[in-house]
Amino acid sequence: MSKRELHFGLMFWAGGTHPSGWRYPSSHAGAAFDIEFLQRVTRIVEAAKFDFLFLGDRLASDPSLQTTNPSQMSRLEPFVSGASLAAATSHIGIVVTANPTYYDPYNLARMFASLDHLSQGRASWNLVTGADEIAAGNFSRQGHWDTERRYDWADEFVTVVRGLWDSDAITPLHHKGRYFDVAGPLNVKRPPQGHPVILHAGTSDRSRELGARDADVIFAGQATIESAKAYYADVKSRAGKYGRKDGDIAILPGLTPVVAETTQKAVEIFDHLNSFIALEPDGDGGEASRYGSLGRMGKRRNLTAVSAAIGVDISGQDRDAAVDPVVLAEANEDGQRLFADVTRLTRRDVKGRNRLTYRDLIIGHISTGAVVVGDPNEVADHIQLWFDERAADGFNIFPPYVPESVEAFASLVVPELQRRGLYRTDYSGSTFRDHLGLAKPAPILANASSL
Amino acid sequence: MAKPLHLGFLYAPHSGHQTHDESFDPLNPIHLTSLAQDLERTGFAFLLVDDSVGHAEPARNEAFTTASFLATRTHHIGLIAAANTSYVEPYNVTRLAASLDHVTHGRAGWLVSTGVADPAGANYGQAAVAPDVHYQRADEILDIARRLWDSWEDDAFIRDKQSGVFVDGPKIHPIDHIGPSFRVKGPLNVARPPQGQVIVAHRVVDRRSADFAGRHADIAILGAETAGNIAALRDNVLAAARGVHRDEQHVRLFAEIVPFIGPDHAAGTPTTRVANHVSGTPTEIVDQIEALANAATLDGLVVAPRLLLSGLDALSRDVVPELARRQRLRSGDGSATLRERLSLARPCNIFEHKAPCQASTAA
Repeated sequence: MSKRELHFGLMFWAGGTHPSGWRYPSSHAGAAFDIEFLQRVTRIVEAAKFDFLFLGDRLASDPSLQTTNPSQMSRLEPFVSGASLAAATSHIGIVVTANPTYYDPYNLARMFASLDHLSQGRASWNLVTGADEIAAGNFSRQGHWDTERRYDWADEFVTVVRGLWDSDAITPLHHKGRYFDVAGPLNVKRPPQGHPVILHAGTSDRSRELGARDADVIFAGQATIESAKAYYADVKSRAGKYGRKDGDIAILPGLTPVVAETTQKAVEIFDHLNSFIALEPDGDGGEASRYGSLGRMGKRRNLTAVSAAIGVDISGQDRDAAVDPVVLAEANEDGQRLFADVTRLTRRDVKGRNRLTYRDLIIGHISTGAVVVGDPNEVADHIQLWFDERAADGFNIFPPYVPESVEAFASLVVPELQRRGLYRTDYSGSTFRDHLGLAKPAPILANASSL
Repeated sequence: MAKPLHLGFLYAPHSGHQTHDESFDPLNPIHLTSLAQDLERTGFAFLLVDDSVGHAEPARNEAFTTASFLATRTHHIGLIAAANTSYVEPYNVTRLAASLDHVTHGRAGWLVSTGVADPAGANYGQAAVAPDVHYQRADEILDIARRLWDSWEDDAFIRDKQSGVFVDGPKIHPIDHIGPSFRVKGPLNVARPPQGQVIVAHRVVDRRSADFAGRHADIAILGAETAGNIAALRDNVLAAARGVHRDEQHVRLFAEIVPFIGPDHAAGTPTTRVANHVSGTPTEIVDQIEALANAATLDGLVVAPRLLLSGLDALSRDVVPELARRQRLRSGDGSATLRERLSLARPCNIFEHKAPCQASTAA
């Protein structure tokens, strides 16, 4: 068995994954529709030997996202971006997000097969089932389907798509199932990878099961190493049920790195980014807007919300003032964790020279996912720890501001990981499957549904 | 003097129009790149990437992914991708077309086809339906697409880093479409296309397709074998345009031609003597093209050679230069978008009421 090595993907949000990343001085605020910009960023991570570039998607828009997720409000359709990227790169995997709930299996099988031919074996499908309720309104649906319905549909959908990839004139599909009736064969030849790589993300039971059965890469949003380890162990053991080996699935949690030559500079960048977040006045009321990167519903950006979470009333405090150490002493378990996390990121504490502020607590409270702030060694240590402890096989890197944070990770952290022998110094093949060490699957000629 | 003509090229490796050319693999990105670059260099205004969702030999790639790939490999040529309204969700196809327009910086088009031309319902769990039903669906999807393309006003983005205001909410519009086949709330999740509205093309072969083209198309591609029949289709298209109060000057009319070049050309000679099969020496072919364009009052021609590459070689080496020498080839100099190249105005946004404006297509 070959040596285990790190895998990296780049989650591309044009304005960065930080909600205010687009306001960072060097960011390109109009990047969402600038394909040359996306191509340039992708070449940075291709030079750093990343496994893939990840193109997210949503099937609806809402102007209210502008203060929380402007990069998700409007963007290029991901197949269009993906095919344009294929024309401008040579090795990196191209992940396109597509939601079976609002697609047709024949069309989607063709799109991915085509992208795999055009990219010469670099296409990948990020399979999402869409928790976005408003998308239903754009697709003639009476309402949003519940989780069971979406996953039942997705399960059969994946079977049909794989069957179409394997079909030909001699063995057309003739699928007749609960939801789909598809004659086939597909009119695009079998993709160079056999089956394009499948990604899946999610933590629900149905999602873990789908991932364990069908995904080659799983990305997850665990914020702590403990929860990530539990998730990792669970998914890999579920995969065993489907006859899959440990190395058949790469688990790549999201990670937001804020890295600079020195720790102090990294913290300054982190603070600078957070200074753009629009806080709300204290008090309840109003609807919490969607916040963070993985579609979690948001929290209020004020001290009232922090008070409720930590079990100590700190509403009305001057946000720029240092936090009274009594607050930490009286805080509940969640509060203790919040303080520890904020200190880990900002290096500020309730005692000592660098004091943390009430504002820091608000920012810490609304943050989601794993974030690491530090110099190249500190960030590499974090990555190595998660990798060695089997909390991760690598990471889907969330660049908080683009392109600078991508350049910083590629030029500062990647060489350090290569020095430590944890990460490739060159691609060993040209397809996405090659990067993951996955063989090309044999065609499933006897499609279960057709015989 | 007779006006210069636009040239388009029909890439349709699966259709009866193009027999399989062993030297060209439609799945191969390098072959596709050289085809598009050769056409661009030769002076073609656009490449139509046709498609089929039914049985097709040889296998080739889906049209929008192909065109998006070629967007990066070309700089001036229009890229018009086919999508079949009978087998797509309107929201999906609308944003594919809008996005293609962004990545080409305004060189995109959508070749609208329907299940009438490509009966592939068996791949979609659909029962066969009457031609009129396919066209009703197409009509509804075009209405939805045009409103979704306009759902973001051109200046909806503020992107002011100082204030943190990213968009101007009132300039983003839901479309609230409720029709016989679809309910689409909107807005689209793509900024308004650089061309305002993506160029719409349709192949006209009968009364029904002529009606559709007259109502919706910027480019009508007339497919008939005699100059008389081509002229008749043209008249039908223009009558349909007038019927929806469209200015007929806003429809660009093309005829599809099949060239057979040179006395010993591998493709041989046409089996029957028909007007849109142009044959002979390059000079003779240009004579025939001019005669056809004059007889049917056309804006240009869409070339669909039987053999993809060998046909193209002779065209770019001899035929197109001869057309240019006679000042009958319209150059694309100075135009950035496909719309500009076709001398079509950028349409106003139907959601903007600032100034009276003349839409170039039916709303």
